[in-house]
Amino acid sequence: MKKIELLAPAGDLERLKIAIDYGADAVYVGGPSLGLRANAINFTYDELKEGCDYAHKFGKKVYTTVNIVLHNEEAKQVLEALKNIEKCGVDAIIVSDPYVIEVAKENTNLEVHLSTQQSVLNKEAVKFFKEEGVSRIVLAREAKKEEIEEILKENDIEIECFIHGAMCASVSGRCVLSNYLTNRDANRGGCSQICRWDFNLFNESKEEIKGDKPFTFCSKDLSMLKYIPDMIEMGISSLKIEGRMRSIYYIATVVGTYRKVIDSYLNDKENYKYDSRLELILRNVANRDSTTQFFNSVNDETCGYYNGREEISNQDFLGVVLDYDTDTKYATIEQRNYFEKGDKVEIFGPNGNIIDYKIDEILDEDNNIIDVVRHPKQIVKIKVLEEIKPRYMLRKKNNVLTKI
Amino acid sequence: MKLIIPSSLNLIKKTKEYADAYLIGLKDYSVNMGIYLTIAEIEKLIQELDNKKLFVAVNKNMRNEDLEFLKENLDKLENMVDGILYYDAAILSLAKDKSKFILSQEHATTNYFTINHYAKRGIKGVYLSSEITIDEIEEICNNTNLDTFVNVFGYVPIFLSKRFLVTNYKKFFNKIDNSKLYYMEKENKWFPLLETSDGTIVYNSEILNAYEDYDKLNSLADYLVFNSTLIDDETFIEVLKAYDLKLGKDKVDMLLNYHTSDLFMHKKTIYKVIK
Repeated sequence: MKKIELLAPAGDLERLKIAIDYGADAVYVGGPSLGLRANAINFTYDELKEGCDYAHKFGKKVYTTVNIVLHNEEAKQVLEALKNIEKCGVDAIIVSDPYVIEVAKENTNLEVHLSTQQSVLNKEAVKFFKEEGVSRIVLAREAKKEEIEEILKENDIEIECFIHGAMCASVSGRCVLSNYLTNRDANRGGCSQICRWDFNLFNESKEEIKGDKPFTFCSKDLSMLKYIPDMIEMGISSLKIEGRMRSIYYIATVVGTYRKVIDSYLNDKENYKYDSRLELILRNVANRDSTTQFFNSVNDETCGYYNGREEISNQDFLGVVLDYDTDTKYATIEQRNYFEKGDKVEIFGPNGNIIDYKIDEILDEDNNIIDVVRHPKQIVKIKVLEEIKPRYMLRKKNNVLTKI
Repeated sequence: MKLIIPSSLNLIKKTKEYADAYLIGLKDYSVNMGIYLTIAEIEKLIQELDNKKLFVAVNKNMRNEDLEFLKENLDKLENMVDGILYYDAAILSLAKDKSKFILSQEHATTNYFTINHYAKRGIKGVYLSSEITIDEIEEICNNTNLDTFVNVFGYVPIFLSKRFLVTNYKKFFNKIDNSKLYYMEKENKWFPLLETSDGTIVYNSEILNAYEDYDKLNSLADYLVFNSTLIDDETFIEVLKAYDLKLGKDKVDMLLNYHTSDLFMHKKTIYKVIK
């Protein structure tokens, strides 16, 4: 069996490196144009090349999204965009519009993956797109386990499935709420996430149906942590994490957690035991409830998210390590959330180890002693006796998570 | 040609003098249509159509379990009707003869390059998205030989989900209501919402009325679509009359209490927010 791929999102070069460092086998990124996250930072061609070089150095892959629904004006740009992307050394492009497949096949050597925007849910559609020339299909997030098994049984093609992150409430590609409510084109990367808005709900007599919280389409996130061994045994080729606009902390934590589960299972299948405490790590980093959604044929009220947008941004992430001086033992940290002298924190890195640490001393950039670190991206130094490396991270100590 | 999406069989009888063609759904295999009929019912309807053209949408996202029926019945359906609208690539894969198939990916049929890509696969036509401008429609129509279908009037579906969003909400908060139609409201905009056996459909709050572009669209596209879904028969027939007799945009707007708009005919959507 070919080793399963863990595929992570990367909104920029920093996140690409984090994803690779923390255990992704491949990352997917947006190019300078024609990707579905028009308002993410996205990569310039130079950054894309640098990202590919970085990934390839570790034997990892980079895929670039070219997955908007093309209007005439964008369709005219496809050839040039693909040629530029190819020059950067990407391993594949992720497309939704069949015209892009045609251009890629006729003019480049790019491998083509079909985006989930095509909402492929059945074996016949898989067969169709295989004949069109794609080497991998990202299935619709509505696919059930039995359907994926049947697709895999009857088609010799790589299948990629989402395992973690936010869900569209709609069938992908069949929602233009954003266009109509905010004039931002959902299918060209401008989605304003109307499915997370609250609405008032009325019946046909225009009498309000009012629950304790407002009506919303918002669904819980997807988390397949418990079912990773099943997905591996099914023969899925790639496990995809959603979230090109997520933070480096989110990417490091989610990628690291899934890496741990995949490796634990593959290294010793017979003795593998699911560690439910890992769910807490994932829950903490996203601050949102999650379920397995359609995979287990559940499509009911337990999948909805009716908390009235009470989630708050994660404050656990305190800083990222920029540098470590092995002589002085001082780590240079870039702040991401408030911390102060005396705080108990954890430092974690790609190897999965967690270092318990109490902050006894903080120095600013000029080596002055300070007590609090309150400014975003403030650069400070703290002494850490155990050797750490750039892109290690500091988070608040959470007793439940320690020593997992 | 005028193509009507009827909300009932009765409306077909009442609108024959205005229509050149009708578009209906195939029961259990279609979404966003006004009526959904079985193959036997379609067969019967054809006898009563007085030679009007009939198109059938087989346009839901198919699951494996749907394929057997489609394998057995697509050919038969193709031989009965003037065209089959499809969304899922499985339909094209299963079709032996593709010459009656019409690409109908509501929000994704937006450029002539992709349309011509499918033309090479032998399809008959394309149903253009409602989210493109009349200039884009013109450019597409001038650059493809396929039959083109363009929305002119009616509620436009803007969201489709495999989830039962109202049922789930009612269950979660223990609310009982057996309506067939719901509305979600925001800032006094009322979006009709229907649940079907396949999930949830939401329509835009404003009804498309492209009256002022009708003549131009008529010169560009092959089929101009009038959708009667959620509109009462009497009003819908008055709208058809207003278009036929050129009674003016305001007449149509007035019939719909001014809940109308030409939507994106003259308004480009943006997708890159300048910060």
